[in-house]
Amino acid sequence: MSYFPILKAPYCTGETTLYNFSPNNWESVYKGTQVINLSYTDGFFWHSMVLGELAYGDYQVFKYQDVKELIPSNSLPLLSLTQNKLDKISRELPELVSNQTNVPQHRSTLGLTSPYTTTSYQGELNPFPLKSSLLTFSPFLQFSDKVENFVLLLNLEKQADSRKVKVEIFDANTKTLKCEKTALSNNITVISLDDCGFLQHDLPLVICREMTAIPLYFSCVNEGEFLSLEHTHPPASLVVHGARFGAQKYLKDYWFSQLKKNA
Amino acid sequence: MHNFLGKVKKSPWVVGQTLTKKPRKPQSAISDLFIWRYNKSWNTYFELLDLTGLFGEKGQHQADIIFFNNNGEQFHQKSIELNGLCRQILNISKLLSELKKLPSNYGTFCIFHKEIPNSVLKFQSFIAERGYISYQYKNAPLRSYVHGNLDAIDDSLTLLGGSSFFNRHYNLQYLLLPDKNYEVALINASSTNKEIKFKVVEFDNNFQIKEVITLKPKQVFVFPIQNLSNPSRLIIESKMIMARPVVFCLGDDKMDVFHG
Repeated sequence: MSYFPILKAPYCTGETTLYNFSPNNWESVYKGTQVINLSYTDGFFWHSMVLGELAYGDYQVFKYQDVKELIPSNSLPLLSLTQNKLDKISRELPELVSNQTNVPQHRSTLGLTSPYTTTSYQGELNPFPLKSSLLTFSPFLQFSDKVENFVLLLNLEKQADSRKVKVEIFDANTKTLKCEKTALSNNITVISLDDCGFLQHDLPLVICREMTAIPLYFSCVNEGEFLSLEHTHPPASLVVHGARFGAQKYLKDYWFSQLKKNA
Repeated sequence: MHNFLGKVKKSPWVVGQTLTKKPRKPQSAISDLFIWRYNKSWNTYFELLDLTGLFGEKGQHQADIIFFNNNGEQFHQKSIELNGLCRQILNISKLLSELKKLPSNYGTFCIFHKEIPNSVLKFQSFIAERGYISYQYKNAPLRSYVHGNLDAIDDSLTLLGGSSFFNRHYNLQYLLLPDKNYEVALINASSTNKEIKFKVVEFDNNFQIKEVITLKPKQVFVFPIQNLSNPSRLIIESKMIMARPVVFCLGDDKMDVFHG
């Protein structure tokens, strides 16, 4: 059911590895060749095309360069592995008939490669609801010489339009607004965190009241000689069992109301 | 009908086999079992957030950090005053270097937040430390981060990981390459010994490496993968419900870490 984006970040090119095998041996999945699709939005419609097929048990690596000529510049390339062929043009993001497991989820390797090294995480991307918001505490900034820090906001929605939304970055302790940026829906937005004036002991808090996203934190040294990439947990992950999404709503309501007067 | 048959087929794998058990006491705190590594090549850091403070509770809060060696035996414990809503980076290597003698050069640790927010109790949830650990390899100028992925243990040191009736495969969806070395760390977060089979197979199903070990509760094992002749993948077979590893990918002086 998931899409697998090809990431982008400064000094790096994205590289996504798809796998046509299940992450476990006990959840029922389709064990046959699947279609590899590439989808993107032009801001009005979703466009999809077939890139090839992947035999059961096999893998395939896609670099950004492999799809660059097939999509508009600055659009987010979305790969998928399906049993169905996707509509070439659609108003809504195509529904995927594909393998889905829960323990663990079916994933791909989402990587960033510089001329020197590679960093990756195991991920997938599902469409977020239109009415959603983002709250993330981000203790990932590194402060050595020649280090650069970014947050990469990865969003996908069913609608094909490209919304521009406000991203507010606060210091969690003083609740002061450190900087304001914009992000795009259905895209990966690269935001530098180095010009926000954070010090070593500040806890950055990134919020977006109009859209949610997977917040990926990316740091590099010497224009890509060393790389680090990881995402933060959604607020619901601060608790286990019970009404976890009640806890998430509580946290969002609390912080959004606290930060309202400073925005 | 199809859905019903699917559920029946799945039932031997799910009935009575929870991924994470609930702690007995409603006011318990939960933690991941994080992997520490400390020797001349490795340093470990942890981003300690005041989770209770994030829920809007004022005052000075505390957390306990408990260390285990690679066999799962506890060897050190410390209480830490939290810095409120400021960032607090725990230098785990420095903390361990202050001990007279280390029992191993890797192991696990857990962190329990001592004050439980009222809102968390209201939602009948448990506060969980599953935060952000970073590793420095060969004094690199950048640390690599990975988040916790296992709700492993509660503050009475009861392990919460579920056990399966049957052997399960955890097929890591990751491409192992011949020009890299890997260290795959796996923790037994269940309360019973577990036999684990690590299998590295090529994509035509030829075996490259096979190793069988037994992990005691809380024990961590680092499985090395090197000198592969062809691109391969990893299968972990065990009676753990989620044998999700942390993978360290090594190449010269560079390192990348991620979870399965």
